[in-house]
Amino acid sequence: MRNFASAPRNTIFVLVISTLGCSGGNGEGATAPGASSSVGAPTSTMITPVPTTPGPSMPPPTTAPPTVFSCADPAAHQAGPSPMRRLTRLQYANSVNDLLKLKLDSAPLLAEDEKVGAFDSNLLAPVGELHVDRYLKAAEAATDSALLNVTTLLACDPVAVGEAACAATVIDTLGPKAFRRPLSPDERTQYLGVYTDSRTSGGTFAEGIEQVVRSFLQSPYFLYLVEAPPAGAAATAVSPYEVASRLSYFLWNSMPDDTLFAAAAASQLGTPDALLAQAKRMLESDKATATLASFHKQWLGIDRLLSAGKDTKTFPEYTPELGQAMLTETTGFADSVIRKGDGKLATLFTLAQSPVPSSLLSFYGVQAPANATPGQLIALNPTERAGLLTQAGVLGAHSHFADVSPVLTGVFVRATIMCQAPPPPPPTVMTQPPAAKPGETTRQRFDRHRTDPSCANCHQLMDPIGYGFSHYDALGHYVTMDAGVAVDANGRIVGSLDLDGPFNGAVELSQKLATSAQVRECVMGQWFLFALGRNLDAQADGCSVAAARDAFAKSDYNVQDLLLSIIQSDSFRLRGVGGVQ
Amino acid sequence: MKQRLEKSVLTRRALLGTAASSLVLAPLLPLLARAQSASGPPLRLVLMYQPHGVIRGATPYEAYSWLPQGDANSLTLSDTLSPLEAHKSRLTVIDGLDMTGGAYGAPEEGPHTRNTSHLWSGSPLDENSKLFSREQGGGQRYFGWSLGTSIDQTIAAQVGLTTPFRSIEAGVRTGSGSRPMNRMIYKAPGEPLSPEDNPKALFDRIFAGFMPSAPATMDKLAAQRKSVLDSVAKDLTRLQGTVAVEDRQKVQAHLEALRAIERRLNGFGLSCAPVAPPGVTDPQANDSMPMVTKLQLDVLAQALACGSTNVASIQFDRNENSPTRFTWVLPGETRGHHEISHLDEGDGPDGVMRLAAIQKWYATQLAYFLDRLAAIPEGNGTLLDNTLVLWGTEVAVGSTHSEQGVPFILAGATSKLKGGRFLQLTDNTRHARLLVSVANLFGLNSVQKYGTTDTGSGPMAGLG
Repeated sequence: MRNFASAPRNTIFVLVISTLGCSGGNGEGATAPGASSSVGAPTSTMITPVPTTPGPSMPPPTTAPPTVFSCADPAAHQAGPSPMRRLTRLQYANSVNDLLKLKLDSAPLLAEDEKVGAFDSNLLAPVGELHVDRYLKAAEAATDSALLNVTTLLACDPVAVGEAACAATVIDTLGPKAFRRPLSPDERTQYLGVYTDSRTSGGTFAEGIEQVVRSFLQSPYFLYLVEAPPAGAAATAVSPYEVASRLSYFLWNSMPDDTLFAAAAASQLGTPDALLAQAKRMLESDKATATLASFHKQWLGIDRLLSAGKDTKTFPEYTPELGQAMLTETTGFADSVIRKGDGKLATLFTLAQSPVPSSLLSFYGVQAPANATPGQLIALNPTERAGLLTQAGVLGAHSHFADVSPVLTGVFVRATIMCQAPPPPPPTVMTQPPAAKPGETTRQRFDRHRTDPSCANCHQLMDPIGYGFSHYDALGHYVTMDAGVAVDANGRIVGSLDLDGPFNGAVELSQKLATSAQVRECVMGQWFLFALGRNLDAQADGCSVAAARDAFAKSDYNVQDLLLSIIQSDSFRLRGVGGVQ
Repeated sequence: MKQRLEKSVLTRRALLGTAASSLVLAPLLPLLARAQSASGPPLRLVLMYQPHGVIRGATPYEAYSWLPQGDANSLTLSDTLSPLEAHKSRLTVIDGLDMTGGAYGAPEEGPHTRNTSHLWSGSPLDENSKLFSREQGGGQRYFGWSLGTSIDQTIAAQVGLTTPFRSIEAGVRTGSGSRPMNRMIYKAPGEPLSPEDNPKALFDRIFAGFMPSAPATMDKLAAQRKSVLDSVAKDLTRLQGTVAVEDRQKVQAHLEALRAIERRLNGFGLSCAPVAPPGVTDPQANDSMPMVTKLQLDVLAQALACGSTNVASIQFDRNENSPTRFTWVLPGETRGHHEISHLDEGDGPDGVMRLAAIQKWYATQLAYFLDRLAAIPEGNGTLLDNTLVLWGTEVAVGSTHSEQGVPFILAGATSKLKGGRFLQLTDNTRHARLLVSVANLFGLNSVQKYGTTDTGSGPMAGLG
């Protein structure tokens, strides 16, 4: 038996989005003993009455049964199964632009991505004809682009050295970039053949080069992150070129730049320290801004605001442009804190400033300072706003089309920030909130969730969190009155690891979340998913997670440092054995 | 290098294939004319999926019931299905099939997730995979892609080799990521096919390669594509020899897809003059749904008429809780289809009325498609006579998630199927028996069992 060395007593091991065992569905596999759980179809007679105070009947969330092993043991250097990934639409688009020095948006041309957790990642499903057809069309669009200047891609002058020789040079420069590794002699011959085929058929020099580029862009070596299988039964370190790709597609959603590629070519990426140096450099680049934005958009689910929209009868000021500005504010905020600010997780939840776009200034009731630069942090009212959870985009994404919902908002906090999703409602329950009667506050409208025992067990996990957001309408405006009565934003958390207790308002809630071990664990897990593009294996990735957890704590929960720990970990540097999990 | 599509009118004369108006790929490349069997035009299949079940109209809501009345020899349509009146004699409505067992979760939980694929494949989701997860009562549920093959793909494997496209998958607003709750078509276990949601892109994909406004340009483009695809195929073949075991299926599928596209480059004759749809600014927008629906159905009808494929499907909306606000039949509606589908009949007539309006709109879309097919002469009758349209939904009733007593509609295929009837089954016949019957209809007589959740075998009784 091996022991989990240095694990804190209440470790929530790995990101398992654990579920609380509240009744509301079948009871099979209930993970929370002591919580009321029914077996078979839910009926009100089988539901345990709600405890009036949260307590021992709602045990802290559990995770996968802890596996016991020592991370000091060399044999513990593992990584979970790492199936071959295909580039996401965003990664494809960025890669095309980096390769061809273009500024196209190729993403909409491609078929939709799969997801791992909240994050786009093409891990499991093979492509079909639709995908391959789209890749063909996208490659042609890139080479047909009026902006593509074959001359800019050339490292040679076809007139001076001869066209065939110049074509060979293009293949030797672009090919390794496209495939993120040197070409083999056979490959080089193959691509030269594509060029000469084109010339033989009457194509011009430029057309010949375009044909070669199209071949690159549709090659599996471009479209997939190809990695050699592990040598034997144990996880093995991926090659320098492979780890360079893992690094660049994590931090930049694109191919390695020349510096990183050169380091791979010189076999200088074999140690965690070497990766650390590169990662620091890459995080300082503006290319990392878009990646941070992508993470936060996906993690917080704020794209939902744009796809669902808002009812303009209730919110005449809402336009898709306003919605986009709200998303820009949130992603800009994350960048301001993580890359340009103190980098701390707590700050993401508590900072009462934001890079408010000009179209949102009056929304928040603030003015930009006289010499404000774009993206500058602007002070917000600290009694109304604090960090991510009180930003309009986040609030709007987790409300209904025209109406607030403490359930939706509560579920968002529970599932996304606390990694503790409650189960969905039983199908026979009407999920439409009752229409507001005159003089009825939101709390009163949803009160049946508290008074009806068949609802309360589950809803006590969500609604009391959502009530804490009573100061915000469905678009995210701050309000002080609800149906003619002063807003009551008292809320409560139950059934958590370290967050149980009352709070008043989303600002105070944010402050609690900012220093919660449960939230730290949740955020760490989300970054692991995003960085690896695959699920974690409780056993094989366990030591990597433990090491990152320690480092995160030592850095006082600095998000940049978390990212740097992840890329130094075994999970990041090794490829595991075994099938898709 | 971009070809321009000329708009031409889909005239009856054009479809009758007079030499002057038929379009054929310029003869630099060998042509494979569409195979004409001695017994006339081929039989086509179109799967049509609508989310979230139907209203069964318990008292006092009989007026809103989706269910018709009738028996093995008669059919009286409900108000919801009344848009289909003109096609009554070509309809078989079925009620009472059992679609339980798609695995994962208790019957009332997660049918949107598991039945998206179970509906057409008769097989469950992979419960050994942890790729996807969904919170469920009592715990986190993990699952992967479906372990089955959808009926259209099984049939396409037999009849799809003589057409440019083995099959065509269309969608309307399905876009919410590639996940099991959002993919209903499976080429093989673990191989979902993604629908194309953009009518113009769908049209271009099907027809652009065969609409030479300048034949020489088309030939050059085809030759260029072949050269590139040839190189890509070499890369895939080389890669196949080096990847880990668990990655081989991906590479294999990629190669097969590429070969299918290459095959089309070799040239197929078409016997029609398809009309390109207008572009839609945002096909995923909520309010685009009626327009996109019409355009997609138009494109599919043309694809069938032109012989681009004999197998197609259309998926409406996203199955994991449709957020679509049906404002075009429910003005000012702020709630999505899924939410309305859970308005229990015990909550008053307003919800039932709204849900019925949505279901009637869907019936209208089916009627529109049947109208389009019926308007195209073919052989001794119409395209509809030679097309089986199979309509289904993933639950029997949205508000209860029940999977027993699911309804289906079969339309068309008049030489093979009796119409004008309502088959109400009361013996828990598995829905996979219907899939067996469909396979047999297409000449796959050795298929006697479909998928794995049905432990029995044989076709559905009474379908004839």
